[in-house]
Amino acid sequence: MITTEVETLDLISQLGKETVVEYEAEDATVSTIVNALLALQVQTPAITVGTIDGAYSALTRSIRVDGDTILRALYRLRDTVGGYIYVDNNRALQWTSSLGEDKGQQIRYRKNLKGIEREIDYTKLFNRIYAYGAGEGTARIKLSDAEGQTEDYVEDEGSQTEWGGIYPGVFTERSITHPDTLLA
Amino acid sequence: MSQLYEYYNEGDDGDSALGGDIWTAQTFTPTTEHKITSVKLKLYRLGSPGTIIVSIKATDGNGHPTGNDLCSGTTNGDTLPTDSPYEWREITLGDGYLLSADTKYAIVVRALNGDVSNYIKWRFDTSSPTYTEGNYETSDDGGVSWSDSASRFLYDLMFEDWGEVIPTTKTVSMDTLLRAIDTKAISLDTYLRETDAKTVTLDAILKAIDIETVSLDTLIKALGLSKTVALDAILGVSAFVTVDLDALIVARDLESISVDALLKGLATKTISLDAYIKAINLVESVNLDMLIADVGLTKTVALDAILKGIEEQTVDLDAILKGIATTSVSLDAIIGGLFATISLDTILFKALPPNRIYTIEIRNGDGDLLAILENAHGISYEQIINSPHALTFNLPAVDSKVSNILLANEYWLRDNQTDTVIRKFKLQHKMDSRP
Repeated sequence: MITTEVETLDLISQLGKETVVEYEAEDATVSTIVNALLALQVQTPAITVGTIDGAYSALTRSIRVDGDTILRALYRLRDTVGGYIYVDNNRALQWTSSLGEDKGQQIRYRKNLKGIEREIDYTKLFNRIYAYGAGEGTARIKLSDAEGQTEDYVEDEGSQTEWGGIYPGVFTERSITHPDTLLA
Repeated sequence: MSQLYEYYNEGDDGDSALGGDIWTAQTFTPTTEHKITSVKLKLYRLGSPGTIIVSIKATDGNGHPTGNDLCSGTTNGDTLPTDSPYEWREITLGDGYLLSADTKYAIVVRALNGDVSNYIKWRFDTSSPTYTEGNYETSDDGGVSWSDSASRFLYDLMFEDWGEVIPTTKTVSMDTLLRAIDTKAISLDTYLRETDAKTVTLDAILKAIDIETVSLDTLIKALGLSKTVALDAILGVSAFVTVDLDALIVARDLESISVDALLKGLATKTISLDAYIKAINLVESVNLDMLIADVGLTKTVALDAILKGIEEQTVDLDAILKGIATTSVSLDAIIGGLFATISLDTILFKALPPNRIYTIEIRNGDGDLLAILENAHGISYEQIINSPHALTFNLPAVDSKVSNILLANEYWLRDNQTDTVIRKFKLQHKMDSRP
């Protein structure tokens, strides 16, 4: 009998599919950075800012994000501050100093699969691609520099409809020095 | 019992003649409000003046009689004496008239059949009149106009104003009445019939009477006058088990009735559900939980009856299922009765095997339940600190619910023992495999 194996990640994984094209903050508070990063989401419903523990929220950090995901940016920020990050069932990002009630809860089973019939990896699904070429910061070669292109991305609206959302990704090829080449 | 109010009845030393178009009047001003019922006038006659008409009129700004008669009466002028000592003749003024204090009125006397040979003489004081709240008035054109001569203030006619005190019973407080009665033998019927006050409080009635003997019908009929009566008050005081709910419901046409109160008061299992439902239709805030939990109809209640009776959209299916021994509920009946307002959530949950601890639900972005994966197996939930938590599970590929496993949906892991959602997930990877 064919079995469908499904892998899911909790709601914070949604931020792993949100790309930060470019964000930079210098000596900004953790609270400011978190709010700014979450404001960059394009998927709906978006993750909101919940409670950031007072031990961390007012700390200041400098961060630069360039084509990475919001989730990874948050984890990078957390690595410099401490605490625990998760998204609760109300889609709010929580940053706490302790793990709380969830700690240790585990339901497990063992897999014993032999042959793969069909596989879809949704983590590799992108239907909006931001493409960048050579250069840094605002001087980077980007799609909107190309002839007839107004946005920094190209997207597949059919895919967005089919998969029920916008899933952005970033493509960077620093050897490209002309925007039309980037578009091609 | 008549009593004398205004008067000027001494010191007469002359008389005023009246008859035909010549009318005579004395104005007066009551110092207290009262109902005038008759007047006494000191009169005599010449010849046969016939019927005398005596009336009370209002006065105008000049103090002259004006307008229609406020009340009137007649007397036979031909029976008056023709000379001294004259007669204090009483003339009854029909049903009388309520005279206001400090308002000037006129006693108008005419003998329409009189003439120069047959007329009335009304005695007056011409030398030292002392009645200051009115004066002599005369008209020679049948009351169309009244003389403005200054001499009118020099005379006062002999008169007495007899009347009654105006009843003041409406100002009696019901509480006072009840306190005064202080008896349990009073018939409520009598009490209610006597009472036309709409402000009487039910508390007052109940306190005053021996409540056990009160007919609820009577009480309700009486209380129909008042929309402010608290049903709590009826039910709280009355320990009726035989209360006729229909009567109660019919009597109450207000929309603010509290079903809580109804149910609390009616601790009876003989209540007619039809009656109850009919009553509930008046109320938009009815809670079916209350119906089932409080009335205790549980296993004998017809689900059809509930569904038919309740037209509102907020019905809680949980309540139905909890109240009615769940296994015997026909899902068709539930769905058929509740149409689109039924929560699929609830139906699906009820359908789950009772021994399953964890279930996985598929919900759309709005949180609406699309499916519950009863056939999910090999469920694994792994928490990794500062990383996304992972939920994996298997489904038979032929399970129709596999079609709901889409990127746009969410996957909720629920703990059925506590009925809480442990965590919500997003799809990452799907793979069909053969063991």
